[in-house]
Amino acid sequence: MSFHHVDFDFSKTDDDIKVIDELLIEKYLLMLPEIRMKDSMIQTDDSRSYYCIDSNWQEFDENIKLIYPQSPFCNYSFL
Amino acid sequence: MKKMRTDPLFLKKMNECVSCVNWNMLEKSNLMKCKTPKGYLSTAYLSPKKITFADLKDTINVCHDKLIKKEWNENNVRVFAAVNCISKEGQDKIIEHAENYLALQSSMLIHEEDNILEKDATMFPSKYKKWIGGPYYTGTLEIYQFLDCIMHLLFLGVVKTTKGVITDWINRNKKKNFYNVMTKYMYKHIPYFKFDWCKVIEAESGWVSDNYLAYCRLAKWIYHPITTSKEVHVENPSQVDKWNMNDCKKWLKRYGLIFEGKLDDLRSTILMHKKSPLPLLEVNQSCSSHNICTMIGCMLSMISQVMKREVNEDTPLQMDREIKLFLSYLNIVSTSLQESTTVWINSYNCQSLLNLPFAVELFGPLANYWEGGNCGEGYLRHVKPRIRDVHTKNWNMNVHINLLNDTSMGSVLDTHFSKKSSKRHLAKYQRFKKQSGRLKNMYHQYSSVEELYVSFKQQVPISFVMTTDGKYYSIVKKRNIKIIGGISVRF
Repeated sequence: MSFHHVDFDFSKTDDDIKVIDELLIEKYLLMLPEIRMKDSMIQTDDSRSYYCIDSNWQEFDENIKLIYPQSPFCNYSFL
Repeated sequence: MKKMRTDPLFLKKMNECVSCVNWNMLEKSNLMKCKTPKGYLSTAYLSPKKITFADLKDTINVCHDKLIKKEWNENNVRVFAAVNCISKEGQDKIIEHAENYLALQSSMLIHEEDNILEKDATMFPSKYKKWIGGPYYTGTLEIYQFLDCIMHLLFLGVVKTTKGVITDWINRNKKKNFYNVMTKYMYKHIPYFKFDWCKVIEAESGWVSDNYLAYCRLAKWIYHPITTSKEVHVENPSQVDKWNMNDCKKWLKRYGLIFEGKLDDLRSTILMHKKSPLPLLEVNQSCSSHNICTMIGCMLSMISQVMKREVNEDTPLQMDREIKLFLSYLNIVSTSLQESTTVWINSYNCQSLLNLPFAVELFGPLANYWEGGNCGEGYLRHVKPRIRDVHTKNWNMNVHINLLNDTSMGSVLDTHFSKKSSKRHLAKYQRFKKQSGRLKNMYHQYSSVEELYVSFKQQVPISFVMTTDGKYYSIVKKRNIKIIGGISVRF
């Protein structure tokens, strides 16, 4: 399971939004924050670390590339 | 399992193992032999075998013949038929037909004029002959051509069972409260997006297959904190006589002591025990969180393989490996939880997973046979709104003709606008479609950049998209304009 550091350019305002053509959207994704718990409390620190999945059963690998999830500790190199 | 993990092609190679059959249930190995049940009069040992309609018909023949020759009694027939996969209803039919046959034979010997049985046999001859089996027994289809319904098999079956195993582990490890706090937080934000591809619900009950599907997508994330972090108890640093009721209860509970009573009594109990420290209450460590984590990872990997929209000739082999890895870990977890019976034996869905690679070879992507889509049960959602009454002549035929006409016309228009029209007309057509019927909700449109930044600062899940140029954006509404805009996501 790979978590990735995510950031936005907070200087951008509503006037700086880039127009997106809906037809050019290829994948739909969701970033899920890394959650830590301590003493039954959710810690909301400023880690900005996210696990990303898409609508097609894929997730980001370590190189921020969408791949199908792989079983842990298994070799996939010869496939 | 070690070889299966390290060598992706291990299952393709010939391998002989003396201690397992590597989930090949049809392997001719002594490991697969088991004793016959009481009342089974045919052989001493049984091994799993592939069922065919021919075998089922053979079973009926044997049972019928043995019954009418009175070599077997009813119990022998039931045991034999059950072992050969004939249901209780089927067994009843075999016995009923054999009894009818015997009764008719006896009545024919008496030579009565008004023989009721003979009359009945003339009217319904099949009742007095050997049972011919179920409706598909004499058809042209084979059993393997009846595809496993993946919505039921995977999500209402395997995922639900695995969720139960994980919940059992959480309860045994006394992490229930920890889990509840966390999931409440995690489940709170995603339903707000109302995604069609991730239908999570906050309620713990009333889940349907789509909810299990969404749970499965998020399983790694949901269980990540619980399987990686340890619950650290921080003791109140002040003197015990200044502890409040909550501090006292937490401390006592942690050491497995009674935590009911007046505050002063609790404080004195704590002081007494602090002088001679007790060991912490032991939690069930029989199954490590490492194994749970690996099982969840294997489950997601397996499901994503099965749900793939595109398959090639290597897919069945890859799928076979993922299924066997998952089953191996499910076995490790369930046996280490000291279940009275192994989960994968009790839950037939787990064993049915082993049929899927062959089904992919035969039918291609199994996701195309999803019963929640336009086929199977899911088709009803398109039909139902068109049914106004069921009393007019040919109502069912008319509904289907109208539906097929609309679908065909839609398909013609889709092709025309996507291939022969300008982008402007295509966008206009898509807007029309969006207004006339609900399009799938695949992403969330933030109302302003502030809403997006606040969500990011609050560390809640964030919706974003990838465009064809490989860039990532969170979608934000453009003020007073119908088009959408995006704020770049930086990794």
